[in-house]
Amino acid sequence: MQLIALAIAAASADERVLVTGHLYTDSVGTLVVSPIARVESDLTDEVSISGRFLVNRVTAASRTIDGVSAASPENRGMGGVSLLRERNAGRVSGLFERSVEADYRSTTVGAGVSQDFAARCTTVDLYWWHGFDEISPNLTGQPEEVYDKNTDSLRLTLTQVIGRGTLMSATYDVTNVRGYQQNAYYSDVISYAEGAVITLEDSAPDRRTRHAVAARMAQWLPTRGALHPRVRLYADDWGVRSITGDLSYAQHIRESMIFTLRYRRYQQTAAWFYSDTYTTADLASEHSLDTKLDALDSQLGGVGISLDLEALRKALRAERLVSLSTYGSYDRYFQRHDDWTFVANMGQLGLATVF
Amino acid sequence: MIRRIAPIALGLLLAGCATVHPWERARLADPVMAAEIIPEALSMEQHFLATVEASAGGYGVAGGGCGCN
Repeated sequence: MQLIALAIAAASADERVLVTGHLYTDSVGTLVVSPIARVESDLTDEVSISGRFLVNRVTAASRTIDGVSAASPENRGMGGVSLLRERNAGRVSGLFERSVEADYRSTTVGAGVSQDFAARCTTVDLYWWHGFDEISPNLTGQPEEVYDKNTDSLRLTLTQVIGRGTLMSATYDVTNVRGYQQNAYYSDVISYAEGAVITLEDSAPDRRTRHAVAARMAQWLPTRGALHPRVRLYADDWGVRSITGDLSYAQHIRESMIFTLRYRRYQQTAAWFYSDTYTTADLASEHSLDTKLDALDSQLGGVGISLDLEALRKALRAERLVSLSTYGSYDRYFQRHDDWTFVANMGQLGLATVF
Repeated sequence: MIRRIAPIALGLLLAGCATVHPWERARLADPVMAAEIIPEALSMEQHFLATVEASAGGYGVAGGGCGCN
């Protein structure tokens, strides 16, 4: 709450403030509460700056929910700043983000260029980011070795106006990851015939190259609504292949109110080194019990509403506010494996203002 | 599979190119045409999905010139 109050207090003329509360629960007892604040401001006619601040409070975690962390209740703080320069039909952007938690520190820098062509009917966007992570698993309560992970990612997006009510875009992403990539909180005991036992921890290859290609469409409907179908294909050199289909529908209920419905279906194959149990053969090669590397099938359904609070703004005579709006959403997620199911709920409620 | 589908998707995208003048873009600029109507929803969802699924990437930008921002 202090963070949100600080963000609002920092706002002055021509600034936009957005505050959101995000709540997550799942079927294994995890609860995550995340207040988020974003402040945007125009520095000049061409340049704008935005800051984003987020805190995750994870409680009752019994499985990983935040990367390799969250083996026990903890906090995560994240702050970032981005700059955007828009001139004529082109945009240049830069990003710096830092995320800190007890066993995981992450720094991300990014830069992008975007250019419109053909009377602004075509947009080409190129974005690169580099992530440098330091991971220090805390399995014994004592400080342990710090491991590095470096990530480079390049994304190319082409967006095309097809007609007065139709847009399409295609994206290709390639990501190269080097360094520590196993989940330190997965371990199991294997035993030999002679009765000797040994504890094995997860072990993943230290290199991974990931490719994703996606296409999205936005189609205006005569009901003052729009359909958004999206498909994504993914492959990496760990043997994971996946396909994602996504359909969302947005509809004006009134001029000031938009209702959204969404359905997402996802299927993936298992990584070549995934197993639901360790064996003695795993002593000599990579092996993982991490369930996100298993073959799985998931579905996500959600509803949302966005409401312009112009009447409230006038009733409050809040003349300093250029606009005031609120939004809320709820999503339910099901993940099915061969012999078990995982369920999660996500909700968020937010308020956006322009000063 | 990606090598087969990507060229087809790109071909369809370019084949449908049309010139839509600024005064004809009211529908494209309507909020219901935006990729994400609920702010912050995509980043929180991607953060969650990265912890429970093995895929990542493919979520591009809406594109500034389309009038949809």
